[in-house]
Amino acid sequence: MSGAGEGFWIFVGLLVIVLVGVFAAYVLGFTFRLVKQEKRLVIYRLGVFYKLAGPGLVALNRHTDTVEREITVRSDQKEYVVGPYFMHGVPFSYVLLLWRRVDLVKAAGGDREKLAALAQYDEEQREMQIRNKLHEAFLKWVPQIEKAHKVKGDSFAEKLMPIFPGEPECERLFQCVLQELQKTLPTIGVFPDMQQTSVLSIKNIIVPPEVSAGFSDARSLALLREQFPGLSEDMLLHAHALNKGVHPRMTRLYMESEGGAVSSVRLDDEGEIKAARVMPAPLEDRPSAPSRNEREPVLSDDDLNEAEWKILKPIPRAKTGS
Amino acid sequence: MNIADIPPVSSESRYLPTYREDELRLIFHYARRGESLCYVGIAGIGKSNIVTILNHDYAFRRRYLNDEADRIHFPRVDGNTWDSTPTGLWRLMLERLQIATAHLPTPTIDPKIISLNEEDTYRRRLQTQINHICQVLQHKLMFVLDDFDIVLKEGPLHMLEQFDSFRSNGNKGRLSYLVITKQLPTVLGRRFELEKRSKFYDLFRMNIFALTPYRRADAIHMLHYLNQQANAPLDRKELAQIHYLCGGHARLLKVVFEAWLKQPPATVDIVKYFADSPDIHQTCERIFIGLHRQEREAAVLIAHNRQSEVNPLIVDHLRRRGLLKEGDSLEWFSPLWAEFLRRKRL
Repeated sequence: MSGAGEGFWIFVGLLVIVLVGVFAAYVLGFTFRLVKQEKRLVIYRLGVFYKLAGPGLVALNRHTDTVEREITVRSDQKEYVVGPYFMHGVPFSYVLLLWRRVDLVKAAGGDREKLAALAQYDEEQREMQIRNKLHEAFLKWVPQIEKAHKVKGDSFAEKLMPIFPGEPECERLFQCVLQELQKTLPTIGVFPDMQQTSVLSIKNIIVPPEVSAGFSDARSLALLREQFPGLSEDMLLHAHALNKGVHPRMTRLYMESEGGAVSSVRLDDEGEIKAARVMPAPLEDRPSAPSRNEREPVLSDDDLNEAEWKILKPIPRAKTGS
Repeated sequence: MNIADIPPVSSESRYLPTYREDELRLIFHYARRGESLCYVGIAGIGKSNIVTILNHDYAFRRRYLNDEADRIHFPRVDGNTWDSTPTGLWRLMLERLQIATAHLPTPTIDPKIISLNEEDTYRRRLQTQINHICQVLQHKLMFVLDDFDIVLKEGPLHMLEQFDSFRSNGNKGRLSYLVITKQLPTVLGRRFELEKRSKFYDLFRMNIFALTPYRRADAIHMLHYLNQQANAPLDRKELAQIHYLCGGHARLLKVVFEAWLKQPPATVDIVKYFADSPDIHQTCERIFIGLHRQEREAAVLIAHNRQSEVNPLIVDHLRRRGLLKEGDSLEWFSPLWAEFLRRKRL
């Protein structure tokens, strides 16, 4: 037999072997999936957790295995809103940025049952758990920081000082929270990424509108006072109202309501004030801060009042209906 | 979702015989008695389909009205086509009434009555037509005032009060209105104190109902129908997934179905995949902007797990609206809507 003929038969033989192999794999139910570097597959066999697979080529038996979910394991910076908490009676919330990564294998520490339990949650549920862990940590440490902080004045700014970045109390708060997270996050299969320079940082601080309005009003009045030292208090308030783009008639109401800010005013055809809604006086003017439910609600014309929330009726369902 | 739960349905007809059964039964019940009612439903919830059935699907009318099916008419007045004038409204109503009752004998116009202006002309002609149908022919009319948010908001009050006058002109028990809005009528008509000063509002003040998303059977049937129209490219498992994503919201069902046809999801995270789609985002945005301000704020707070800051009355209201599912948990009607809200900034 010639060399060419021999080569042909070897090729045919190999082809037959490959085809038989592919056919056998198909009959036995094998299938393959490519899993990216940053992903893991949670595989169940006959409805029971089997393994966490990936990255690379993952063999599955299509008769018995199901891919329940895909988990992202890369280190990621995510945004979380936590709060509200109270610092000396003033409510605030944080918008936080947290570098974290999901590592179920490390969190399980070789315990297969624990791994199976951690693998039962999808990414959305895990995000919710992270948010809850963050909330728990702040709930634990904010009161401690509040207790340690001595308020020097009675203004909102003084009371909220410990929550602002750069303040030693704030640094301490975040240090304690991060230490707490290092302990609690692994229980849900997550680790703070300690290799990042700023693992947990503040993106934004949310304070009630009356508090932030109080900050800007006080600053604007202080500037006016500085520039026009000869002006009376009434004139200053008038100028302040005009600066804010408020109708000058509101100035009178502003003063009459002992510091309460006018939220809306309706004028009749002659330009006289017909109806006005006045926000409650700033918290600092009150003997003690009332709870949210006790405050006078500030409603615009497009808002629903308490009775209106009850107007809608459900459509009566037929007894035999599904 | 258990795929086995989905019943095999014949998808040749657009609607199941039991489509919106409770909602339609209520409308026909009120139309029979000559009483008015109002449906408040979020954008895209399927309000137009109800209107279409009232006007064009005789089988449905026959099913609920029996012998009265030929004697009750439902002219539809679309608030979106209104030109913001009373004249425009009467003209629109007259046109729609003439279309809905084109097969009936027409009234004779008294040539001796000369109207002072165009508005008066159309108002009188409309009143004459209504009187003819209700009093001479002894039929009943239920005007379907569809998407009427803008009309209730702009008024003026004397124009809206004319709806009551049409009825008081010898047509009580025969002339009624089905008002359909996205927002509460009291809030829409706040400018002229609709709640306190309007007799028109009195006609339906006790009958304001929340129009909720489709029941499961209606939603599944709609998907099968859409699939049939597209030569059945999707299997039952995929249809079940679409239903899971949209939770009975008519427009979302359609938009997600079309998006799936265009590009099936290539990932296991189908919620994220579809939430990223501009069409679906736009549909959710339309629902969102159609809500009252406080509803929007409450929805975003709940979605960000800050439900403790939301007034329980609002939560209860959102449940009746069908935005939140019934029960103690705060679960939204659709995972896509939930994801849309989660992406909204506080």
